[in-house]
Amino acid sequence: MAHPFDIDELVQSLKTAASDVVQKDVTTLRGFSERQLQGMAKQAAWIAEATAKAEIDANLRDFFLNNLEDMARNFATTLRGLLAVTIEKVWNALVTTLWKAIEKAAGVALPVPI
Amino acid sequence: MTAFVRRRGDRAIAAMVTLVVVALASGCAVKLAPGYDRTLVDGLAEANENAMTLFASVSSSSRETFDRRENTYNRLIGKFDALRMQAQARPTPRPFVLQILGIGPDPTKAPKDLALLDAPTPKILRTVVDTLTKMRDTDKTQGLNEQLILGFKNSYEISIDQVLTYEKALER
Repeated sequence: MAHPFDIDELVQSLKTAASDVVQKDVTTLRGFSERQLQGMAKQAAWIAEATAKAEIDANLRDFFLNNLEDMARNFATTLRGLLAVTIEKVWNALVTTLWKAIEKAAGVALPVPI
Repeated sequence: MTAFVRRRGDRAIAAMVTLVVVALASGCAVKLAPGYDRTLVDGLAEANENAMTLFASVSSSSRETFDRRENTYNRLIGKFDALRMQAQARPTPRPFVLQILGIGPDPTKAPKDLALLDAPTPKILRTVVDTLTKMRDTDKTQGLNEQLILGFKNSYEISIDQVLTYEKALER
């Protein structure tokens, strides 16, 4: 049996579906970013101190500097990858919510979105 | 159908209709990241455990005993390199929805634009391999003191955190 299509109710459901995903993932992303930034800052400080005290030679210093640059780049691409996963989950949650709303309003079972 | 729709404003309805049309046109559910690979995650966990054991063992060693550690280094470097190749061989999604949004694969776009959805794992593991290789070579030629071990361990931990966090996030 078909039901009236309540846009306000649908918008609220969509907001809930999206925020459920985002809130959980933001916690993970925040923790990851914090660890990474602390780690890279610690490594930069170590390179500076080890160079100043001549504990590493020029060859090792250059290796660690290039290594730190690589890690910074990898941090950015990892963050991009994690955001892509979050966007995917939000998108799929929204589509599922829309499907259910349409099914309820139309009173028919629709094929599950692939 | 219009009999069932309560008119709440043209903008809200237009936005909703647009979203539904895009969702329908895009094939609905979308995949923007590679699939979760349990064997890769298990391999990384095992390799990480072996690496931390190596860091613990070199902290109380000297250059003269490098021969006893060489095989351990080589096995570990080989393991991470194998995991890198495994990650590289994993298919990367190229969802149709990106073409609708104008950021999907397009023969007129430069190849680097296709890397938008590439997983970071292979490059991270390349950095891990480079770090461990340099550590092995330094251990062999001059030995590792406490300060050097700290530098290599810091570097390793940053990279392993990146790859483990990403790969575990793919389980969704």
